Formats: sequence, structure tokens, C-alpha cells
Amino acid sequence: MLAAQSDNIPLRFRYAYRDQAEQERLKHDPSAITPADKSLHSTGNAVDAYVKKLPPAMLSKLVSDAAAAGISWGGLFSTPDEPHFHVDPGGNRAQRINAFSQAVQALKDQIPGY
Amino acid sequence: MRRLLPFLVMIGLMPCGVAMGQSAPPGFAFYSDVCYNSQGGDLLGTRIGVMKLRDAVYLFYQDAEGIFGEPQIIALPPHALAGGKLSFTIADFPDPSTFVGTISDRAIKVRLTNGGVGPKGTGVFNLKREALPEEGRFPAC
Repeated sequence: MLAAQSDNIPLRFRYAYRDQAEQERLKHDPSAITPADKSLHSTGNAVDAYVKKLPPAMLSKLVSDAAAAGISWGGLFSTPDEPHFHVDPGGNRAQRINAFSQAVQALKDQIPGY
Repeated sequence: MRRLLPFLVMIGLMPCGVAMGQSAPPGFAFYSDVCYNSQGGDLLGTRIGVMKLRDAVYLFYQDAEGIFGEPQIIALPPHALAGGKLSFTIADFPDPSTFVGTISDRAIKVRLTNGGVGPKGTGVFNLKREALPEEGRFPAC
């Protein structure tokens, strides 16, 4: 983010964590190949940035800044997803999603009235 | 959803005789290129509804970069679509965005005037006319 700021790239994120229920609502598409519950948004490892207004040169700079920080870009997916940036921790993603969901729920349980 | 209710009610009251096969957009038309990217788990694209009334052309705009952003409804002058041209400005981050391009009964093709890449990275917003979608159902990208 600091690199983007120093490159004068206007950076804002539209979304980060989505729980499995929300991911499933978002998907709702029987033709999708990868189950929605495998999204890195559900492990807390992905964000969606506002990129539509970025000219190509600025987007390229943002992607290289992200790569330097170890962050991968969804624009390189087989089906490009330009707003998507993530860090893939590897391992069993389903287990990570379950563990992260439980951690988030535990935090929510500590917030009165959540 | 509540913010969209008046717009949706107006759509419901419109006559159903939407003519196809003409170059000019009909009284009401809905255009979209929104799809679901299963690899990233994201909705991507833009959807625009256009409704021509006597006093103005009302344009509904909403884009998705991961999830849908805030919907916007803007009023254009009554003859804004004359000649198949389309130009409109929306509130946006970090400043307003202006789109210019064309509209027909089949598609909207617009670009951002600042040269932005768009939600799909192509620089071209190529939205095909569609029936109003069933909420929450989108094709795979």
C-alpha cells in the first residue's frame, strides 16, 4: 500500500473477507467450475481493489508493487479477475476456510450485540 | 434494495411492448456484462438500466469489482440518446467518472474518458442487452 501511495496510485479496497454463506450467495451459479467455498476471500487472504479507473500503465505499476510485496494478482488467472489480489498460503484450503470462519465467529461472539 | 425500489416499481409499470430489432433503445432496456469469476470468487462487470420518460432519460448504473458497488440513478436530458450516442457521469472514487460511447437496442459500448481499464481490464464496457436478471444468478466469466 505504501508503494502504491508513493507511486500516486489511488488505492481503495471494495471487499476483503467474505464468509462462506455470503460467498455462496454471491456465486449462485451452477455452471461455475470451482466451488465458491474455496475462495481465498473466505480465508482472509484476498482483497478486491478498485481498479476500473486505473489506466493500464498505473495498473501495471500496482501489480508490480503488489508482486514485490508477495501479493499475487487475479488478472493472471486463466479467467482474469482484475480487482483481485491475494496471498495463497497453500495447504488444505477447505481446512483453512473452516479454521478462519471459526476464528471470525469467535471474535463476533465477543462483540455484544453483533 | 430499498433505494432501488422506486426504480423497480417504475419498471414494473412500464408497458411490456419492448420492441426488438431497432437501432434506437426502447423505452426501457437493461444491459449487463456481469459474470461470476469462480477462480477468484468475484462478481465482475457492469450493469446499466435505461428508462426514457418525457422529462428525462433515467439511467441506473452499478458495477462489480468483487461485489456490487453502490447503485446510482442519474437523470440525463430527454434527448440524451439521440443518434445512438451515450455520455454520462457517475460519482466515483477518487473523483467522478465519465463514460462515452454508443447505445442501441442490443448493446451499450462505452469507455471511461480517463482511459481506465474497467472491471474486466479491457478498457471497453461492452454490455449486451438482457432481460432483467433473476437476482443472484450470473453466468460464469
